This record gives sequence, C-alpha cells and structure tokens, in this order.
Amino acid sequence: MTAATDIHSQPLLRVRDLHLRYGESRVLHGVNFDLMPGETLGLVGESGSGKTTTALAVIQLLSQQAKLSGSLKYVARQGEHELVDLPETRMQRLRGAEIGMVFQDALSALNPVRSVGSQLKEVLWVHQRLRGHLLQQAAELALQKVGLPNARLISKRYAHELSGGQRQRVMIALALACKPRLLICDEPTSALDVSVQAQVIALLTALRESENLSMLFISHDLALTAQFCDRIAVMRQGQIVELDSAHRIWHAPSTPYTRGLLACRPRLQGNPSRLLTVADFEQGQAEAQKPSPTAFAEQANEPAFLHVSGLSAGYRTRGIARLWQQPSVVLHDINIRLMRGKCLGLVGESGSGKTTLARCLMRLHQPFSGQIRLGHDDLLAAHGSHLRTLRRRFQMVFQEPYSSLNPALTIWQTLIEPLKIHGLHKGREADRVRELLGAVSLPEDALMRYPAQFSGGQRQRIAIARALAVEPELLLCDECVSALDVSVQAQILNLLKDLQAKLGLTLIFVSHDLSVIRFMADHVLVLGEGRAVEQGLVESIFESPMHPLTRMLLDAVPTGPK
Amino acid sequence: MRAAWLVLPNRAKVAAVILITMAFWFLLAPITSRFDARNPDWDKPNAAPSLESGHYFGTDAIGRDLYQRTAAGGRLSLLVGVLAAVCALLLGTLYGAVAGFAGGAIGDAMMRAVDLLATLPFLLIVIFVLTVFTPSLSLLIVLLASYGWLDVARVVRLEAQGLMAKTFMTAGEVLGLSSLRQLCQHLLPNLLPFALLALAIALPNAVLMESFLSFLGVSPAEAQGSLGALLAEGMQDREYAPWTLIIPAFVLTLMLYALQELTDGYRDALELQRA
Repeated sequence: MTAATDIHSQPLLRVRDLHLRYGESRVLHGVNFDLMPGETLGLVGESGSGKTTTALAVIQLLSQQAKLSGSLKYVARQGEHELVDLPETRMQRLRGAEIGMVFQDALSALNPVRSVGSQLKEVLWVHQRLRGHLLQQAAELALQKVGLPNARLISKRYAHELSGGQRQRVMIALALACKPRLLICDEPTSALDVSVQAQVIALLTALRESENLSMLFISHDLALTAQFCDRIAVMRQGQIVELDSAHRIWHAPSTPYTRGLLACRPRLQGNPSRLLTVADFEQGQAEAQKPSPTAFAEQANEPAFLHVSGLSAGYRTRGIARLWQQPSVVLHDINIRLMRGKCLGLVGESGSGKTTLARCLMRLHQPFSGQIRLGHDDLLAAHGSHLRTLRRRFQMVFQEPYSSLNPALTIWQTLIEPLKIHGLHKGREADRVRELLGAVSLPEDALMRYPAQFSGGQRQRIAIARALAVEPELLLCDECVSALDVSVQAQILNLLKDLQAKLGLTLIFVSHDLSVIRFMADHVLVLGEGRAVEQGLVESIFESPMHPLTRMLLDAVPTGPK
Repeated sequence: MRAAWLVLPNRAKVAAVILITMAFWFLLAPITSRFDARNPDWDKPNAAPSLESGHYFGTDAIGRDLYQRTAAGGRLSLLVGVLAAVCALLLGTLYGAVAGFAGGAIGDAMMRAVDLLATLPFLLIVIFVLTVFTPSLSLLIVLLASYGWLDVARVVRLEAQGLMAKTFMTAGEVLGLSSLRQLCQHLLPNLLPFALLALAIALPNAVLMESFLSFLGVSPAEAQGSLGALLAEGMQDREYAPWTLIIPAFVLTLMLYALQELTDGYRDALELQRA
C-alpha cells in the first residue's frame, strides 16, 4: 500500500494498448494498466471478460494461435523487458524467478504422479541450481512459509493426498519458491470453502507483506477482491471499464456496469424482495428497493409438508469387502419439518453431507434408516413404477448447467419428455412447453436448438423449466447458481423466487454461499460433519448464530472493505 | 455432417477420397473394359500389363484379366468387411451400452464374459467351423462379426460408463423415466459417435481377416476370387508374372491404409470436439 501511493516509483509492470485475438474472435481490445511495486491490483469481471487472458498474456502462457499486440513492459531485477515479443527461452528465465503464478484448480495444476516435494525441488533446481542437502532444506523452508509446519511429511505426499486448502498452499509455495516479485493469482480460492478461502487469503496477505510482493489478483468475487486489493480494474468484453482504488470501487463506483455488479450480489444483512440486475442499472431503472419485512408466523399446528425424521445415510464399500468393512456414515439423525410454500436453506462446508442429504431426499440414494414423508406419502416405501409416478411431486435442479441437459436432444424434446411420460396436458403438450419457456423467460425460437447453443445461465433456465414441467410441489436446487456469474445468478434467483410465489413451490436450496441462502431461505439447516448443528429461522441464525461452526461460516464470508 | 467433414484432418480427407474412388472403381470396373473377371483370354496367359491389349493390369496364369479380377476381389473383400463390421457394430453397441447402463456387478460380469471370449483362439475356431459346416459367405460374415463385436463392446461400454456419470442421466431418473427409456432416449443417441468410431476400427480388421483367411485358402470367398485369393495365386506366379502379386497387394494395402487413416482422423476429430 505504501509503495503504491508513492507516485515517484516506477511501475513494475506497464500494460499499454494490449490487443489479443484468436483467429477472428477478438478477446482483448486495448487493455491499459500499471502495477506498482508492492501493489495488489484486482482484475474482476464475469466469465469471458478477458481477465484470465490478460494474466496469461503477462506470463506469456497463451496458446500458439493467440495473436498478441501492444506493450507489456516488465521491470525485472536486471533491466526492463518487453514481454510481448520476448523469446521463449528468456521468458522461461523470468517465469518462476520474476513472475509466479497460482492457478485456480490446484488438483489439476499439480503433477499427479510426483510428490509435491519433488515438484518444488525441480523449480528450485531449475532457477537456483541448488543441490542435495541445500535443495531439501530450501524446499522444506518454502513449505513452512506457506503455513505447512510439518513440511517434511507434506513434501512426500502426492497432490491427491492433500486437502484443498493444503494443495492451494503448495501451489503458492511453488509460485514463491524462487522469490518472484510479481505473483499472479487466478481465482486462487474459487474452488475452496469459505472458511478455507479466508485462511488462504490471510496467508496471501501475510506473504505480500513479508516478501514485498506485487500481485495481480483475478477473481469474480467483488467483495473478496475489494477487501484484499489496493486497486481494482473491472473488465468487460476485453476492456477495462473502470480502474480505481478498491475503496472507491466498492463505495462509489462510477460506471453503471460496476454499480450493477455490486448491487446484484445478495447480502448477508437485510433481505430485499428481489435482486437488482446489471441490466437494471444500464437501462437506468434501478430504484432503491427497501428490504421487505419477511413476516410469516410459524404455524405449529399445521402439519409439515416435508417431514424427515431420524435420517441416517452413508456409503457401503463396493464388492466383496462390504462383508467385513463397516459402512461409512455420512449423515446422522437428520430431522426436517418444512411447511408448504417455504424455502429451506441447506448450508455446510464441502464434505458435510449436503449432497448426500439432497440425494436421499430425491430418492437417488437409499438411506440406512429414517423416514421421509411428503404430504401423506412415505417416500422411502415407494419403489418401481409407484416411485416413478410419485417423482412428479419432487424435482431437482442441478449444479452444473453444462452436463444436466442431454446434448443429443433439442430443447423441445427435453421439455416435452416429462409431459409425455407422466401423461400431463394430453393433447396440448405444445402449449404447455411454450408456457414453460415463457415462465423462465426464454424466446420461443429456443425450442429447436440444442443445449450446446446456449450459455450457462440459459441452460440453467432450461433445466428449471424441465423440473417445473411436471408441476412439482417440492423443488430442490443443489448449488444451482454456483457455476454462474453474479449477474446471471441474480436473474436466476429472482426467477426462482417469482416462481415460488406464483406456483406455491416448496423449495430446498443447497448452497455453500451464505448470502444466497440469506436471500432465498426462510429456514436454515447448518450441517457439520453429517449432523444438523443448527436449525431455525434464517433471521435468527444469521443475526445470532449459536453454534461455533455457523459463526465461523458467517465470519468467513468476505464483506468488502470497511 | 458438413461440420464433421470440416474438422477432419487433411490426411483423413485424402483417405476418404481414396476410399470413395476405389469403391467407384470396384463397382464400375465391369463397364470400363471389354474383358470380364471369369472368362479367360486363352491366347494371352501371363500377359504383362499394357494399354494396347486392353489388359491394363495384365493377365494371370490362365489368361483372366487382372484389372477385372482385382476390382471384383476388392468389391468382395469390401462387401464382406462392411457387412461383418456392421453386424459387429450392432451387437457390440447394444451389449456395451447395456453393460455400461447396468453397471455394478452385472456390468462387470458382462465385460468379463467379453474378456473370456477374446482369449479363445479365434483363427483355429474359424478354420474348424469353416471345414465342418458348409462354407458360405454369410457364414463367413457371421464368423468375422462374432470376433469383431468384442472390441466394439469394450469401446462402447467405456463411453457408456462416462455418460452414466453425467447429470442428465440423474435428471432423467429424477423425472421418473423408465430404464428402457433412459437407455434408448438418453444413452444410445449420445453413444452414436463412439459406435461409429468402433465401426471404423472393426472395418479394416474384418477386411484384413477375410483376406488372410482367403490367402490361407480356408475362406468361402477364396473360390470367388477375393483379394486374399489373388494374393495367394500371385505368390505362386511371382517369379515370371510379378504383377499378379504386386497389383492386388497394392490395392489391398491402399484400401487398408485409407481405412486406417480415416479411423484415426475421425478419432482425432472426436477428441477435438470433446475438448
């Protein structure tokens, strides 16, 4: 921060008029920014905005087809370099030693067949020619620096033997092993739980101070970026639309696009009835929406619509070993009472049993014991064709919009299939399909196209339409917005809320994002290691969490700079 | 279809053109020359290839026109190969898809059965069957298919397993689709490109195997002069009429090369599409 404000110092990296295209498609149109020594610059934007491409251009890891023009001046320890046309052999010397990179997906970025220690030693050998005893020591020191105290043990492990947080720490150790001055972090925490994310960010903050690093921090999470960075560049369609201090971007953004990006995120405090979208801001239709009082009285007398009691579930070993091996229990004694028309939020870290619970509720996984009642029907007692008929009443929207639609079927075929097999709207199926398409705000010419021709958000709308086709009473959304950009997420959440009100749907919303749960849910169930650690109304849990796990999850959510 | 052609590598396009040209030649040869494959030109046994005599590829030991005989042999080899490969494709795709769809112990058992069949000494069994039963072309096709489907089943099963893990299969289950519908509507259409790949692998194998059996003299196609039979005759006359060996050998090699190149190209295009 101090170095960044020093206007006399020379920028470490100066990017001027950077253009990039792949064949006919232009990815970057004139990107300009400076990065001062010791400064952290955040690059935010939605998918396809060019933020990762910009970072890859800086470290020259673009594919062969990329045509790059413009200027990327980097001031290394020994003189200035123009990175745009630097020969590959000289660039190799800069990578690692001067510029390091941390990738999003550590599991695929680390070599699976070599121990992490040997990968670390390789970097140290290539750049510093260390050998033997010294090499071992340097590798262990690098691991200790990123908060892995038992370095000797960790260095013998393989990537798959480490937890997500540990892997990301190893990635950071690899990037920092040769003391680069510029560190590029490409969504370093997006694949991690909020609690682990907070730890990794704390580590990066500490390292930034101790190593005097400059950072290029890429993220789709505005709150996190604003909290962590000195300045932020907001990217859209290959250009920087706004570049300012993190404080000003967060509190007083100047472009409608940035204002829209900020407003469309659900918050932990207050509960608006619907989210604003980027389009609202760009068309100048944004009005301040008052938080609506979420007044509903708990009717204890009314029988619960969804009643889960004493549900325990887990997985048995496959094959002959199941005869002597104990099954691993993932869910212990879960109880849920949910009234008709309400929304239950299911939260927890990864591995807490959210998905298993969702699969049990959808009758995709057979629990060990317990009862699931939907209205008067006992779900666990239904089998075969009785179960298939019953499935009409509970539907599900999946996490990945990319694999949840059959790529070989048109949207028409996808939507008409559930109607046909359940014999609904006989004779007027076509009208119903058009009605469904209208309900999720898709144009009618979508019907004859295939899923591959749609964006992630549009596919998620189609998946919602398919789930709604059979007029379910219960709709389970399993992380259904976590793969989407914030502006698209806002549209989908608004859509789900509208549909819930219009159709009287009962919703179960599984998410790791607490602010999304805050927006959607009336009740919350917090899962920790397969047990319901806390359960109750969303207001009371978010305002006065009782269990340490709930408190920890809430504290770890990035809320932007003070 | 047009998109598929565009992503094919150039070598595969060349191979496709070669194959199509050969197929046309096989079919149209009878009307492009005044000789035919069966009736010998008694005056000119073992004549060298020449344009003036009309025997473009020369003649064999009893004066049959080699131009016509090669075309007829190629036609027969390709026909037997295609029919055998299509049978193998149908059986293998269905078996592989069901094994992948069933999964678990049933799927495993089905694939172990395939492994077991693949260990049998195929060549000995074929020779045995062809000598015991009345040899006929359809019997040959059945025999070739009964070997070829094993590879098809393996390829298709592997793909089916991958597709079963996709969310749209789970989505189908949640919607209450029956297993039959899941298999036919959702699994099989997505397996089609890989079934075609399996066909492209089975086809050159079937052609080669048929030629080999004819060469050994155990194939019912041998009497009708398939390429393998021509090769066997060429081997006997190679010292004084080398063209009787070289020309059929060249045609067979070119055909197998083109089939292989097309298979590889199609496989690459599929990989590219998936990435």
